[in-house]
Formats: sequence, C-alpha cells, structure tokens
Amino acid sequence: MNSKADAFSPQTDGIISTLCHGCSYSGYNCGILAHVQKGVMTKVEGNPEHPLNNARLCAKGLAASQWVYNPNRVLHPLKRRGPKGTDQFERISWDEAMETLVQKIRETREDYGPEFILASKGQAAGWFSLHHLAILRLLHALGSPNFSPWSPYVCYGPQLFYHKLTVGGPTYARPDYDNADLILEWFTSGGQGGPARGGVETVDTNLRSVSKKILDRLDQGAKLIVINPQLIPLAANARCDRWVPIRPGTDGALVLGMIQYIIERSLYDKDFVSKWCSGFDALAAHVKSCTPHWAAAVTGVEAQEIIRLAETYATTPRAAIRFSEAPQKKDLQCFGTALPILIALTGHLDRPGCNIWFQPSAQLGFDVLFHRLSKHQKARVLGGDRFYVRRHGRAFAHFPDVIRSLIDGTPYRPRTMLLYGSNPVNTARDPSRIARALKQLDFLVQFDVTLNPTSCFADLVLPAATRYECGDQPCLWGNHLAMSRRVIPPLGECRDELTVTLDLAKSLGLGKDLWEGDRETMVREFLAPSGVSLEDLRNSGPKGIYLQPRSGMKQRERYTRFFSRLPEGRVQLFNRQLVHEGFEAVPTYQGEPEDLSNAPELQKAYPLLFTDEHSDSFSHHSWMRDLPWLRDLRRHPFIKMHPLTAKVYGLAAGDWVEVESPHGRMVVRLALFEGMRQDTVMGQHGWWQGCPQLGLSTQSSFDGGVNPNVLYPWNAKDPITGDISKNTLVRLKKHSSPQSREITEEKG
Amino acid sequence: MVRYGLVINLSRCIGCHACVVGCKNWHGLPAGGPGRIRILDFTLGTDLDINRWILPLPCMQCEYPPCLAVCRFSARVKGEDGILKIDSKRCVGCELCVLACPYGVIAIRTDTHKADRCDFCCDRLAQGQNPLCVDICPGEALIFGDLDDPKSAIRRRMDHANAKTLLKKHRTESRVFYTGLQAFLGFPDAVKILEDEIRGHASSG
Repeated sequence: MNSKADAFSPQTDGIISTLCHGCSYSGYNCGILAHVQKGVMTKVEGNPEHPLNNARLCAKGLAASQWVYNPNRVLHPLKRRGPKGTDQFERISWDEAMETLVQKIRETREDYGPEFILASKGQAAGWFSLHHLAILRLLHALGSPNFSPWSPYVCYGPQLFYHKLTVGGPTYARPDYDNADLILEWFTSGGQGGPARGGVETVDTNLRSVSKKILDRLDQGAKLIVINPQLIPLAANARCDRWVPIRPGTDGALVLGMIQYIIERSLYDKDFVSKWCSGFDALAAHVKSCTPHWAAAVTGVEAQEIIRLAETYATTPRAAIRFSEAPQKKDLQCFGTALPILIALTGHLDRPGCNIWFQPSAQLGFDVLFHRLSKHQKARVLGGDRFYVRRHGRAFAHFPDVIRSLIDGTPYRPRTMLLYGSNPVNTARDPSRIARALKQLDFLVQFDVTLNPTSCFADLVLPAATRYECGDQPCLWGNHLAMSRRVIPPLGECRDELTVTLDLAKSLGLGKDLWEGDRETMVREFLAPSGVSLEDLRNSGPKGIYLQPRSGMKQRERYTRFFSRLPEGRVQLFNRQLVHEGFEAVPTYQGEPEDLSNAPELQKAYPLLFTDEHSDSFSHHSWMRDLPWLRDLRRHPFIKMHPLTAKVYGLAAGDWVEVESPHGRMVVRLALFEGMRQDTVMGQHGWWQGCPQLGLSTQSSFDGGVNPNVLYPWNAKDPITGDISKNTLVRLKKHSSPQSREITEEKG
Repeated sequence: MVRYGLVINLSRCIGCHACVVGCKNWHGLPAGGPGRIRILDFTLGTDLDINRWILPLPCMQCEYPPCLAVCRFSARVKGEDGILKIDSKRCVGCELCVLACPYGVIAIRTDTHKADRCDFCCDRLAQGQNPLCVDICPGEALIFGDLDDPKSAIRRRMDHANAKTLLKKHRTESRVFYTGLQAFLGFPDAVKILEDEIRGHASSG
C-alpha cells in the first residue's frame, strides 16, 4: 500500500474538520466536524465556518458514524467462490487480489485489446471528482476509451444535454433564489435529499435541496408553486402558494400548454426573442394546437390552472424554476427542450432572480491523457456514434450501449470491468437485464464499502475505505477551497480506492503515467490550478481558503458568451442541431409509452399510473438504508397512494401489497398520503438493503422483490439519449408479509 | 437566572428529520428507539385545498410538568436553569411519565429501559453552545435562548411573531413555542386533529 498516503497520522482524540460524505456529486460537500475519542469517530456536527452549510447538516450527514462503523462493511478483499449470481465469496489477501486484477487486465489487453477493459463509477457518496479523473487517467494510459460514469449519464446527463442544446451555457441555468419573487419547484423532492446544503448554485447538480435559500426568500415574501404529483415537504406548513398535482410523465405537455398560451397572449419577451432567439415563428406554428385545454386533458391539471401558471410565470420578472428529473424519460426530448424554451421565451434567462449561470473561480484537476488514445481507440468507444455522446466532445461509454454491447456483442463485448461505488443491478432499468449483461464479463472487480446486489456478479470485491478514512482531498466550489481530511485510519483491511488505483497503475507498468503511484504528488497536481499549495490547504483549518472570485461573476445577461456554441449564437426555439441529426426540431409531446393516452388498452388491466421518486433525506440512491438511525425513519420499502384510491382497491395503510405492471412485480408496504394524485402510485428507488440491527433482512432487487425498476418497459428509450422510461401502469393486490430474501439472483 | 426556551418556526421546518438523527448521533441513542424528537406529518383539507403540516415535538420543558408530578421515584429533576432532566439512577422505567406527558415526547430507551427525552443538550449548554438540533437545522427553523432576556434572539422572535405553545389547555406552561401556526389554528378542529396525531403513531416521515 502506498505509504505516503498514511504519512500524517490520525489524531486519537479531538475534533477534525472535514467534509461530509452523505452525498456527493462534484466533490464539494457540507463542512463537518468529526469528534474522535480514543481513535473512534463518535459523532459529528456541522462546521459553522463552512460557507455551504454554516453548521447545518442533514440526517444522512449526521448518521456518519453509523456509515463508518456499519457492521455490513466489507473489511477485506473477497474472491468469488460460488457461481456468478450468488454472493458466495472467500477472503483473500490484498496481494492475491492485486495480482489477480493485474493479471486479468493484462490478459484482456493482450488477448483482446485495451478497449475491452471498461471502468465505471457510480454516484457513490463521497467519491469525488478526483477519483473520476484518476480512473480516467488510468484507463487512457491503458489505451481504453471506455469510461462509463453511468448514473450521471442516464438521469441527470440527458436532461442537461437538451438544456445546453437549447439555451447553451456551461451547465444548467440555475435558479437565482436570492433575488426571485416566484419560485417554481418542478418535480423536485423539495426538502428531501441533502437539505442542509446552502444552494443549488454551489454544486453541479440540480438535485440538491436548497432549503435555506428558498426559505429565506419565502420569508421575504416570494411565492412558491409546486408542480409535482405529490405535495412535497417544502410545500408543507402553508409555504406553498399553489400546488399543481401533475400526472407523472406529462410535464412536457404542461410546458407546451404554457408556451402556447404565452405566445397566443403575447406574454413573451419580444425584445429578448427578437435579439437572442431563432425559430420563433416555427415554434409558434408548431405549438398552436397545444392549448391549455389540450394540456389539461393530458396532464390532469385544470386548464384554468395552466393559464394561471403561465400568466404568473410570464408576468413575474424575477421568476426562477428549479427542476429536477421529471419522470418523462422516453419522451425526454419534449420536456428537456421545452422547459429551457419556456425560460428563454419569457426572458427569464440569466437575469437577476431568474435562471442564471454560475461559474467557479477555478477548476481543480489534471490532464487525463485523453490525447494518448489513438484515433482508432477513440472510435472504439461504446455508443460513440450517438449524437448524444459526440456532442459531449470527449468520448465516454454510454451506459445503455455498454449493456447492449455486453448482451449482444455489438460492436464488441467488453471483457473486464472495474466498478467503483456503483450498484447498477439495483438502480438501473431493468435489473435482470443488467445482471444478464454483467454475467457476460470475464472479470468484474467492484470497489465498495459493502456488498450489494451487483456484487453477485463480481469476481473480486475490494473493500473501499469511506472518505472519513482516507487522506487529503481538496474540494472547490465557487471560490471556496476546502479539504477533506482523514478522521480515522481505515477499518480492517480497507483501502482508499485512490491509492488502489495508483498501485494498480504501478503494477501494470504505468507508474510513469500515474505519478509513480504517489498519491500526494497526484493531489498536488490536482490542486495546482487553484494556485494554493497543499501545505496551505492542509493548514487552513475548518475555514478553508477563499480564492479571488472570478471577475464578472455577478454579471448577468452574458448571452454572447453563453450562446456562443449555439447555431447563430441564438437560443434554439427551432433546434437546428437536432434537425441536422435527423431528429425533431421543436418539442413535440408524445407521452410515455405506458401512460393513459398511449396505452388505454393496458389501463383496463392495470388501472393506476406508477413512477418512483429519487433519493430522499434518509438514503442515497441504493445506499444507507442499512444505517439504523436512518432506517428507523422509514423501515420498509413502500408505495404512496391516496387513501380514497386505496379504499377503492380494498387496501389499508400498512398492508403489504403486490404491485404488478406488464413487466414485473414488487411487494412493498402501503403508505397512505392525502397529498398524492388519486390516479398515481408513487414508489421509491434504491430499496434492497436489510438492517440487521433492526431485524430487517435484505430483499431482492429482481422481479417479485422490492425494486420499482423491474416494473418499467426497459426497451422504451429516448432515441437520442437512451434514457429509459420510468412510467408504467400497475395493479395492486394485497400480499402477505414478504419472506426475507437473499440479494442473489432470482431462482429458475 | 436564565430561563431557557425554544422557538420552532414552522414556516422554516421542512420535515427533513435532521434534528431527530442529529440528536441520536450526539447523545449516542440506540437504533430502533424513538429518539427524543417526534415529527408529526399530516394533512388537513382535501383536494387542492389540502394543507400538509409538519410539526417537530421535543420535550416541551414545562414549567408545571405532568411527568414530574407522577414520578414516584423522584427520578425527575428540575435543574437551577429550569431544565428538566431524568436521573437515570433513580428511574425504573415504569412508564408512568410516558403516559402522563400530553405531548407524547417521553419514551423508554430500548437499551437502558429507562425514560429518556430532550434536555436541551445540557452538555452543550455547559460549553456555551446551542442544543445540537438548533445548530444543525437545515431550515434554520429553531431559535434557542433565554426567555427572560429582552435582548435575546428568542425573545425578539417571540414578541415579533406571536409565538404560541401547543395544547394550552393542559396548563403546563410549555417553554417550547411555535411560530407560523396561524394558518393551522384557523382550521376547524385543528386542535383535536393535533391531539389525535400526538396520540397516534409516530410519523414515518
């Protein structure tokens, strides 16, 4: 093991300032103070000097000590003993594990070629951009273009893609809460999912909750409108001006209805449209039939309500929309392009209180050796022929194409996969198809903190240390630089997967490409763009270091700059790039394949709409439901349903119910909630974990288990991005309490 | 002498349960137990007029605590600061106080089998800090301080925002106040519904 990484010894007693790892997207998280007694991390509190959270912390972050001392942790390397699909492993030494891994990678490279080696990183809590870059660099040094950061590229990525394709910019145009008079929460989990963070603009995602900023602004008189099939917690306690309970998967129709009304009534920003948009006439003609009455029939929202919403939004100069991933996936092009069009059309782009672009002072990182790939190697990236992948500039292996290539071998079948903190068997659609794909691999190595359903297809499982056990990791957002520090030494034989990646490179003879395996040198290079030395950052205490803010950060209406990548430098109301690629130029609502308008026949047998919500305050995707303090708050996998609907089907709160779609079944508990559309059943993704301390056993991710992903039509995909539908129709029936199940594959 | 109290600003509570988990973390409370803070989460009204209410309930630190009155083992202690504590050496876990509390915020710990509830984080107060939940609340919904100090943030908030205690009829003189309750109390049967919720199961969030 890399000895330098361990050079600074952990304190045995005291309070260590580090960053929270209850969630993670771009590496910069809430500040946390970890208490250590006799070498044990006993408890945590928020760091009052950290600008993102100023001492605030959410339930996930506060359960950190249970996350670290989780009895389910894998504490030493494991080698497969039983057949794939089972969780039978035997303990082996790190030496044996690394030898096996190095040999497999060598064999694959020599026998097939480097592109047959694939790496993937999930949305694991606490696994930072530094990891992302290190893995990329290793892969490129090996000669493989196939890095598949799959979670971001099957949910968040596609929507961002359409956003940028329509209104340009470096990333999403995010709500400027500080100045907004009207805040539209569009299918967000509002108040759930990391609520302690200070503002969405500080992280590279729109999933983050931004409770404080929104609440501050509401206190100052701003109005809140919630567009969601359910009444989210943010809308509680009389905060919400209006709740628009939309049918899941029909969000695009609502936007089109608003656009139609806004154009018809001339409520759009004529000045902005004439100066900065192209294709207005085509759009206006196209949406002519999308009246509020049409939208009402599709969305289940009254026409009058749609008109009111359109009027309120269009006539409030400082109006911001916070949107998350609406469950309109197969038909994502419609929602993904219509929403930014609505923002632009009404002049709400990059103006105070509207949706604006944020830019950090600097970007940490190092060269990932992309240039080392030959033209041939670059062309071998899986899914590289997609417009979606090409448009990103730098090749990445597109997850749906990875799965397809594993299953049918086209254009070729990867042989070896390195999987970092990811659990696609549970979180991707459809689980049994993912399992089938992973079975095709010669060798799958998984780095994780616990075993999970995906481990059943791994040949080798390496025990990852949590961030609290790893050394220096500089993190930057905006102009604030903070350090993630080691709180305690790794438990058991766990290792920082960064050092494992570096060791691996060294053993493969790629030492010179990866800092001769020296973690500290790598971290220095990563930090270099900030101009701050590693020593200074290490000594910066809980306050961290503030960089000089980039000039022009407060500037708005930066259209010349942010539209520069768009054809003619204008917002694409009529999208020329999409036309050029042979796709529809204007948002056209088609709906999800299994909804009320597209599948009326199906509805006779499966009467209720089904979708699921993302992470909440008590879990991180498929992680953390094994932490008792969090699991206490929500013990069983569940669906939410309106009490009247339940009555119709003879169901009562707390019943175990079988939820059956045309594609699969799951058995979960029924929670009744009056703040739910009556035609909709809402599940939650990520369930499988048991919690031994609470006597709760692990449950299946496959058909008949507790995973909503088995219910969807996995082959209903957005033709451009490959995003998979997460809408279907279901029927319910009462079920006896389920038996405990293994995490292994279904029998037979 | 200080008279500590707490104001819970419901307009800023988003039901995230950070206080519940943070408290368990700080005090090392066992898994499977209810902890020291309850979160009620229920709806009033129907259809589009529906209102969702999320109310955190810690120990109300009553001036006239029914739990103290019923304890036969003198395990209830009221410190000089007026903060109610439980003397775990004397408590036998008979559950009388659990039944006596009109707010349902006392529970028997699953590991020690003794009564347990919020004591405003006495350990932190001694260090000059706020109770943990006050510092970590993601919505900054909690204000803690000396009710008798006219300059304190809590006093100012109470005077400014018409803070109210819950279930006044029990005359326990709670030291935990709520703001942002107006819309709730304007609802027919609000108090009865609240009592039902308190008596009912703890929220699942």
